Amino acid sequence: MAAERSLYAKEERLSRRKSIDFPFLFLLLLLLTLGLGMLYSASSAQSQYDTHYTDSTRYLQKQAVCAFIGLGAMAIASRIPAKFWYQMAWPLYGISIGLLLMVLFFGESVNGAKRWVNILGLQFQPSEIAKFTLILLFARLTRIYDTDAKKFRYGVLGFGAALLGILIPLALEKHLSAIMLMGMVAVVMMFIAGTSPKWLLTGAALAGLFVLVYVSFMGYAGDRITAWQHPESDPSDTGYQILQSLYAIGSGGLFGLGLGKSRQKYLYLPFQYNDYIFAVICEELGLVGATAILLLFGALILRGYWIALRANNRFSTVLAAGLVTLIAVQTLLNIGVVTNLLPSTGIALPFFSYGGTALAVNLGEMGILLSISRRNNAQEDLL
Amino acid sequence: MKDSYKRVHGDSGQHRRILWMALVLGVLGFIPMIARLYDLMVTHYDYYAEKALRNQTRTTTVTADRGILYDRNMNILACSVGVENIYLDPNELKQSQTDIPKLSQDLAQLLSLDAAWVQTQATDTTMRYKQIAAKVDAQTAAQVRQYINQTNTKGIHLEPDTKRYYPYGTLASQVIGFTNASNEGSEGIEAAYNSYLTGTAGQVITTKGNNQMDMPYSYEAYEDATPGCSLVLTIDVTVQTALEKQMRLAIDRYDVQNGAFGMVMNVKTGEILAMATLGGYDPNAYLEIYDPQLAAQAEDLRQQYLSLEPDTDAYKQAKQTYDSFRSNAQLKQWRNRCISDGYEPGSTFKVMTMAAALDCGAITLDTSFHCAGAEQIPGRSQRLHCWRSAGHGAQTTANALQNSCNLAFAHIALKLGGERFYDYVERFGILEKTGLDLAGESKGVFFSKELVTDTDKWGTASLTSGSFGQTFKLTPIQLVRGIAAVVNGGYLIEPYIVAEAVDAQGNTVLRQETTVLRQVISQETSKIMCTLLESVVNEGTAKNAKVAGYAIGGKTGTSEKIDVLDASGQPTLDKIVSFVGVAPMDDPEYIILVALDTPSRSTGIYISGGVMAAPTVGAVMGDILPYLGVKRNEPLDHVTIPDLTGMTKPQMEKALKELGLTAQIQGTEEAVTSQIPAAGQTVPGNSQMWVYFGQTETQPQVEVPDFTGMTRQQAVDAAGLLGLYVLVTGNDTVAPHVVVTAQQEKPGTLLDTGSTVTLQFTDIKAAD
Repeated sequence: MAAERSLYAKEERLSRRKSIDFPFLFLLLLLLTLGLGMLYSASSAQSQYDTHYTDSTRYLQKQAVCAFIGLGAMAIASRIPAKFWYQMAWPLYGISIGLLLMVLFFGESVNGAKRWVNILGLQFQPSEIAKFTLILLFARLTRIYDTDAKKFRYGVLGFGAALLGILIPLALEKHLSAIMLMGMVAVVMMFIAGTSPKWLLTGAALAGLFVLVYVSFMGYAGDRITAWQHPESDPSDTGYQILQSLYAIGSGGLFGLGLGKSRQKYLYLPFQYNDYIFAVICEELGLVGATAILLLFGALILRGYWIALRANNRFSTVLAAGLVTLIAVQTLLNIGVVTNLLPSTGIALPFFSYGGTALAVNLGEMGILLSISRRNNAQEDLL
Repeated sequence: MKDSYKRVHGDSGQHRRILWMALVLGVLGFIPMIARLYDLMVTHYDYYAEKALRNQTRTTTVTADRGILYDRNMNILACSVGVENIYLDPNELKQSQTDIPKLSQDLAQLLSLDAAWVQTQATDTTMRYKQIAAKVDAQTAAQVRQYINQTNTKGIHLEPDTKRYYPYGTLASQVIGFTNASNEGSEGIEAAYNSYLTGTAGQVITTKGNNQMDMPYSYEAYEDATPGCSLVLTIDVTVQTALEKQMRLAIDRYDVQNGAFGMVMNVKTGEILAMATLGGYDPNAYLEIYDPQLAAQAEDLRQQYLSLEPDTDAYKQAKQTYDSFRSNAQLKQWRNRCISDGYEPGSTFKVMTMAAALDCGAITLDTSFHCAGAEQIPGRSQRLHCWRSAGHGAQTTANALQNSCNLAFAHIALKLGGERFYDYVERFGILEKTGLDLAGESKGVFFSKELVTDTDKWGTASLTSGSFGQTFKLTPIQLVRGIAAVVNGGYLIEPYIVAEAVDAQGNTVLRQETTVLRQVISQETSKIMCTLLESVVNEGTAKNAKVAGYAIGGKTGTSEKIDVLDASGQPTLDKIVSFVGVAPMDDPEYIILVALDTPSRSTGIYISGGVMAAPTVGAVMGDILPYLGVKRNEPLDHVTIPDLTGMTKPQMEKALKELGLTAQIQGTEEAVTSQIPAAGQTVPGNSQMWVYFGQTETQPQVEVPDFTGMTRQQAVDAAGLLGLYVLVTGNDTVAPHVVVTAQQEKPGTLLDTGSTVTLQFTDIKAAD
């Protein structure tokens, strides 16, 4: 025990001394800058419309404030040792369930969905926090040895219970996209943690079955599937959103209409500055620009997993991998929906889509990744 | 710390799994995404670019300016002015969370609408276009704009539109017609020439943001509208005004119950100078009902259905009654009776019968007729009565027309025979439409050929009645054209009302000219008929139509409306009195018809064309013939006062003697210093004037008395007492039953001594 303690102390000293992973930070800040720029472009028309042509920066301003809060959170998180998160995993998990329950009882509606709570004048989405605490708890629950993880008790039961604790309140909120996202992140994390693939496949099969039943019983979700496969069959109603998105993307061509020159953002494309911002990116920057942004995301993800690989303990590895996975899955799902490869669900594009809570939380999470990246530098030193 | 917070080295399993996920989520996952983007943005670029463009562009139709209607002197009869329509987008109102009840209140107040109605429009989110006000003027539109800006409301929109403006209001309304809410011509010239007037709509293709958002990166493509052609009519506003004024006066004077119609046509060219149907409307507000009686009835019906419970059957029925009553009243006031309605012409038709009989030699001017008041005509079951029960006695052909003797005409018809009568009727164009370029012309109802020709089978009732214009119907325009052919040398012409159509560049795209269809009677017959028609005015039933200084001719007509039945099914004996006048008779140029439908018996005035319609036409001629530049064919028995100032006494006396005037001399100086009346005034011949030699003239003003009902002598005496002169128009016979029926200078007007008053004399016993 004493040896261990001294080791932590040494690590902590090193973490203050050793630098963070600059390539990751560079990629992150690049994406954040591009994200704010594109948010301004995509939201300017809506902002002008909402303010009767007096202000085109209404949404940019709010987003920029949250970006600064997020960067602050990132700076702080990058200096908090992973041990702190290890210890906070359970309490934070409890708090986030509490917040989710609060939504059910005192939630505030925005655009018809009841997903926000207001605490001390601060309005935010508890589901964003729940995503993080779930990842944290999964990392905490990961066993040191693969042999343990292969056991049903550790590899399935613990994770499953933790997952359900979050998914049940989300299901009561009917927050389908968050359930999907967390389910997928959970599967990836369990795979990394060493859960036997046969359990994961069984779980995926069960989830698939559930979705099928859900779709056939819920007319509303069924409509979404029709709109996904045949958007042109009802261009003014259920197919409207996806068709407008495809028009925006397709008309971008190879090089785009030019930065700021989207036409679809003039209220043709709904949600043009949050869930569907990528369509505006395609329209303005073309295939070249859109691919470049996707490559940046790919690079960020790969560098994130690289950080996870180099973390100096299993908790940090799994936590880092989980956080990167969260970004990766969100990105892929968002692009898939916007390009109509996947049926529509409300999943935002990290660092780009409008949404203060998500941006701040995402940046904070990246701060944790940066903190973990210090440790893997330290690890190299220790070796 | 036995769980995951522990350093583990060389765990190759986890290492491998992370690398796998990095490969899947960081590399492989992006491949289908990029492939999909390539597919959308490169492979199918054209498809989506086109779709996007169509999605973002709005094609707005630019209505072409509608052509202007001008009268023959380029006075504007109809033109279009810019207005705006106001509509709501209920979806946009909902999205912007507008306070609908307040909005409805405000708009209702601004646009004088019902707030509840506005609210139902504003909340009908099934539509994105709910018009709440059509064709509002620029001032109201500006107020609405200001309201939108002040309250920052999203969802109220304005769009430009045009409204037709008719500067002369009711004048010639049925001829001009009007345009409906969608700017298409309805009725009259607006309808008949709609394709000329409309032009070709243009297009503006604009890229525009959704919800009317302006878009900085947009383009516009224009396809210009081609404005419609403007039309120059043959109508003359001055003539039309004079005709309508005199008809209106006649309606008031004779208490005419069912409106009046009339027209002025050039007999040589077929140009319509005026065409009027009174009991009309103002095309600026064509939906309103203008007949006060019908309007009151409509209002009663409206109150009736409004008093009922809405949505009940009784309510619906009452509303339907109201609606159909209203639309009937509208159709009635829009109707151009001159071309659309047949009527029984009565004696005016005798002109054509006589022309036919003279032309083919069935009668000559020397043929004599005898009228005993009633006679058993062969082939008629009942004795035929002349309108004058005492009979006309022995008559020449000329007398027959002057007296409008039905018995004489029955004999003329018998001499003419069915075949020839029908043939002439056909050639006078009574069986066909005249081809006047207006919508809605009909052609009357004439007998079948067999009915007049096969007298063995059908008797002579149709033939003889037809000869004096009874028991068949023709349209006023058919009658006018037929009589024009009688007086213009015998040529049947096609009347027209649009002289030319001119496009926006000033090119004439249509020019109408006189079309002669055929010669109906010989020039000689035509000349004879002119003489006879003049004698009708000078010596016959139409003396009341006389116009001082002009040789005019014409024929009176009085017909019973035998097909109009009262509530008990009996004929009402309502009458249409008419007169067709022609002037000048030495070389006819203009023909004027005035018909008054149902003069009331309550005025006590004898109901006949001679008493009522003839002086009306005479008055119209008095107004328009000088304006139209028609030469006076005989010197007036009125003289123009010369300027005597500066003359010596002998010079003055010589000058006055030449003019047949006498003078009362005042003062003793050498030369004339002043005179009454002043130089340039017109006074009757043999009048006395006052000439001042030095002494200051005393020229008090006098008040014009009411001359109505006075005989010629009484009127001249009354005027003389006041130092006024009388100018006679109308019937110039001096007889106890020829009295003043109208005076140009209203009673009570102040005039200088020596002024002239123009009095209309009418033979109040003149018949037919």
